[in-house]
Amino acid sequence: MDIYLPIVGESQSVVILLILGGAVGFLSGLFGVGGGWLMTPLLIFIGIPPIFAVAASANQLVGSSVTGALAQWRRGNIDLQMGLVMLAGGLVGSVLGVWLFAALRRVGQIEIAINFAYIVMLGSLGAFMLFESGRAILFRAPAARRKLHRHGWIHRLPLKMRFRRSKLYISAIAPAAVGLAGGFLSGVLGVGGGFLMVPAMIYVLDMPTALVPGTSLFQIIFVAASVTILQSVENGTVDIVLAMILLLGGVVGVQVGLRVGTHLRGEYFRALLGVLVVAAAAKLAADLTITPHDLYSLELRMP
Amino acid sequence: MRGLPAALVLIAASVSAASPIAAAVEPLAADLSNHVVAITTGFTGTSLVLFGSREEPGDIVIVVRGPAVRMALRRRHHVLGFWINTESATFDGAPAFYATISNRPLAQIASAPILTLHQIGIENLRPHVHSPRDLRPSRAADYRAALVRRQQRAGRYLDRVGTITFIGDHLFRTTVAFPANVPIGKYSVEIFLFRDGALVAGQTVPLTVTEAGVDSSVSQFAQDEALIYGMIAVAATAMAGWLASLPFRNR
Repeated sequence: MDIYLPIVGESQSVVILLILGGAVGFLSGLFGVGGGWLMTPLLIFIGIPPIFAVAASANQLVGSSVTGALAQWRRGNIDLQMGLVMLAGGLVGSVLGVWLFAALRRVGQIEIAINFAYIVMLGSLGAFMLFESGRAILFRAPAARRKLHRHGWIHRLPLKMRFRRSKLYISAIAPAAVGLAGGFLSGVLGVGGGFLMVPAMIYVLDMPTALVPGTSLFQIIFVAASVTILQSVENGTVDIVLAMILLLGGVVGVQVGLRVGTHLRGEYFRALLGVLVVAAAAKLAADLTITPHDLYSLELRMP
Repeated sequence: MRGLPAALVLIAASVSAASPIAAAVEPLAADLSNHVVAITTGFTGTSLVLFGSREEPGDIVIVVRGPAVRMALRRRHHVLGFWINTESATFDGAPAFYATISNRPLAQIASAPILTLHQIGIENLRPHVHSPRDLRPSRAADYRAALVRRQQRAGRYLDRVGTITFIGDHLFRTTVAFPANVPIGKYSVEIFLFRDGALVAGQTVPLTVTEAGVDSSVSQFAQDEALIYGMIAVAATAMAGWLASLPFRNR
């Protein structure tokens, strides 16, 4: 069964889109990852042009992060104050990201830029997952214990703020900068930026680990919303039908993933995911390095 | 489809019986089964029936021409191991969709100058360079060839031979197929009658390809009110995300 996507201007199989949304949701539920960084490349693989893939991915992220953040909120796992400071940076980052997106699109380099970014991102993420899960499988090593308190350059920055929920007294610049980086990636690539922000919140900001996913999800809701609106205004590439179908698949996938996740040993699945992610990066890299069938590409512009 | 032969018989009857004089004056008459192609949610391509009559025997060529659009072509070059777009050119005057249907190969029907004059046949399309202004003619030719090649690959440019059915001496019928990715806009369907290599008669039938139903309103609204559309897209997904969390509230 095909459905016509009004903004993309093409028909796509509903079943494939639901499976895709479901698969990304499943992985999100299983590993607690955002999954936006998988959604965009998978959409590109099934033939959705990158510019629409990025916008639809950001739009469906609004929905999936609302679901995730609400669950965290009920468990009291969100540092609102920290989230708002990160959001301030995130909104600026999203504007910069969408602006860069539009600029790259004007000079005809957006598709290659998105591909490159994903090769680097998926390649390094996948390698890290393989390394980390491989170590866990081989040595069953417990995670290195963190020091309770660290003092580094992050504490020498001005504009110090007290974050009661996180029990931190740090410069507001640090979380804002983390949010800005996440928002920027979101604007260019349609990802939530969680894969970048979560480690940064744990290792750079030194936040309590339990508060990290909820706080980052809370911030992603509004950054993804900002990216969606900006993409609509600046590039006109937001396909609401596509986003809603992906979200529908994702909603089911997340719940299945959450249930499966409680019964399975995580490191084997993380290793498998690592392999998949590296494979995806390799596919994208091959597309850019293998001599194309036709050196020319064509873009129709309606007057 | 069963009604069609009956309709043709009816047309045949009216052409030969009711208006013998008009038939003599009009060497060629044709029309489409529908003048609107509506792209709706389930659209996977469609075909229209074109039927007509010719006063005397001769070759029939049908040209379906989509709206002229600006086309940007980019060429990849090998840079540090990666294939990257480094060159580009834009062309004006090329139709977004173009198809010919003829009863035998175009080259056998008329001479090249005549075909070129009427822009009949894919190789006779002449999109002109919009930018860069100083594009070398040899490079422009490469780009034009690539434009045609990409459009053919996308199924938007095609020459079809031998798909016209003749019924008796006068009537003819064919189907005009449109793929799922048919561009929207104003189309023209030109029907030409050739005899001994000379153009005897021609007729143009207008055709509109348009988005219909919910989809047309969605894409129109997204264009006109991009800000509000973006906000609605956010509200819709946020609402769906909230609804999705309700069944799991107590976990």
